[in-house]
Amino acid sequence: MSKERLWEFVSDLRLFLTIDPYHRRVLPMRRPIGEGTHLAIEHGLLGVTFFRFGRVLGWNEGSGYSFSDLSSRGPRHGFPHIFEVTLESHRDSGREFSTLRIEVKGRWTARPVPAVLRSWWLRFTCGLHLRMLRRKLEDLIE
Amino acid sequence: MTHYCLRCYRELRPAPSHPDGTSDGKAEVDAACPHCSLQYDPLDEQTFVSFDILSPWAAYLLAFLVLLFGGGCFLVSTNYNEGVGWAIVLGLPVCAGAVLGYSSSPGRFRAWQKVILGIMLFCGFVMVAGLLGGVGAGAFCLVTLGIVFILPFFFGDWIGYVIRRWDERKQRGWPRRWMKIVIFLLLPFGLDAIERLVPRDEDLALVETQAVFSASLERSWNSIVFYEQIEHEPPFLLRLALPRPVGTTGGKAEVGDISRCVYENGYLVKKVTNREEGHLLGFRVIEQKLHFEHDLELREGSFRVESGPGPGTTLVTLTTTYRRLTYPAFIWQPAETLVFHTLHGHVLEGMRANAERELAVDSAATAPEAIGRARSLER
Repeated sequence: MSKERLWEFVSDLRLFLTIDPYHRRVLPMRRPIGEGTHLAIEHGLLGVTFFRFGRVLGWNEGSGYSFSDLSSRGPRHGFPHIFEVTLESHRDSGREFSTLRIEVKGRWTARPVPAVLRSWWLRFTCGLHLRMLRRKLEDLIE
Repeated sequence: MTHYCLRCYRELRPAPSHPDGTSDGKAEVDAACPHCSLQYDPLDEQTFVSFDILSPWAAYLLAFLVLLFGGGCFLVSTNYNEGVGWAIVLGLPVCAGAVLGYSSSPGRFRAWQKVILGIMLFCGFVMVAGLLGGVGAGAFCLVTLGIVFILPFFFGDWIGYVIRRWDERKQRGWPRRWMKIVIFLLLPFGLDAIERLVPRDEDLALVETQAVFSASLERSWNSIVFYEQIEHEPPFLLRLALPRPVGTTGGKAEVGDISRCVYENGYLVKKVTNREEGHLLGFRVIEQKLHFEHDLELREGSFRVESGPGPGTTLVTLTTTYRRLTYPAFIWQPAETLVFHTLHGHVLEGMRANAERELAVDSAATAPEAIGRARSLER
């Protein structure tokens, strides 16, 4: 898939960011979307839905963006984290390839949770996210 | 229609518009909550919430319905004479609060919270005034009942408001909202019906109060058996809200004797069922008319007389067994225990005074040491 086509898919935040185990709805609070645009991200977990809020931290048209995902109680509560979405293109034997890289950095605030459980939870979430993305991208390519 | 912020639920100021009715494009782009700075798009109704609250007439109608259903539920429950239960004490105020919370906008919800907190403060004030002797029995009972109901109502109000917020975010229409209000209204009846389906064993409770008399066993026993008239001043709680015992008529000399305890606005008829001379006087309540027949049913009681902790003293234990008719027990039991201890204490105080008065005029009987006033050992 070309980088342009992939960007077209990735830059539709309402659609792309809901390909996530916990994101149910993403509402960009201003149009056009750019650096500084606030986001309301509806999360769902075990049948309970709640909003978290963030903002677009960086926006490089065609190359990627980053945004924060913070608790409504403030940036120090409820696992504050940021997503960095980066697109790269490669050429090999005349064919064009694109790489989609999603990096999540956060601060674990639930201290009573044991480290083993925490790392299992993060691995499980990332694995699930990867599987969902792969399935969606395969559908897109077909 | 008023718009509210998706994060803090405070009112959003409308974007300034031109005199010709068109809005300022820049203002729309820069629209943000003045309280938490969260942006919103005035043209995208998903980025804010609009609580279209009920019209005043619909709200009055709803309040009337809540009162009607609540009153109906209460009457149905008490007419069946199976007492006040979980559905009435917790279910009804929670559901009534939920209707209020669900039909409120954020502004109205905050205003009601202030009103409820104000009522709670007022109740606290009336309770303090009551303890100082400044209010009457009716007000005291009303406030006690209010305190029992107001916390679940407060909780229900919050639950209703949270559900409404949820529905607003999901942008659900009024048909579904009305359905929820109807569910809230009918829920107490459902809970009451379920409560009746669950068999409830006869719940007997026992309250025991002890007092130490500075008199011999014999005198203490006689003061119980020949006790007739209460002359001393009743304690505060009896003066305020409870049936005040006046005296006793009838005999207690043999098993089968019937005595009648007279209260200011009622009576109890008791039959002696057990008598061990100088030690135990047991009785069964065969008739009760004290104006709290819906709350509890007196069953039996006893006076037990034993040697006291010091020389020349007697320990008298007054026990009452009753059937509980009001639930949940954890709410009413402290009040029931307080009522019985107060009544017991008042009666025992009269008996103690009689026993010790006889001691004072009879020079033959001497107590090695006086231990002062009766001490009530409440259990």
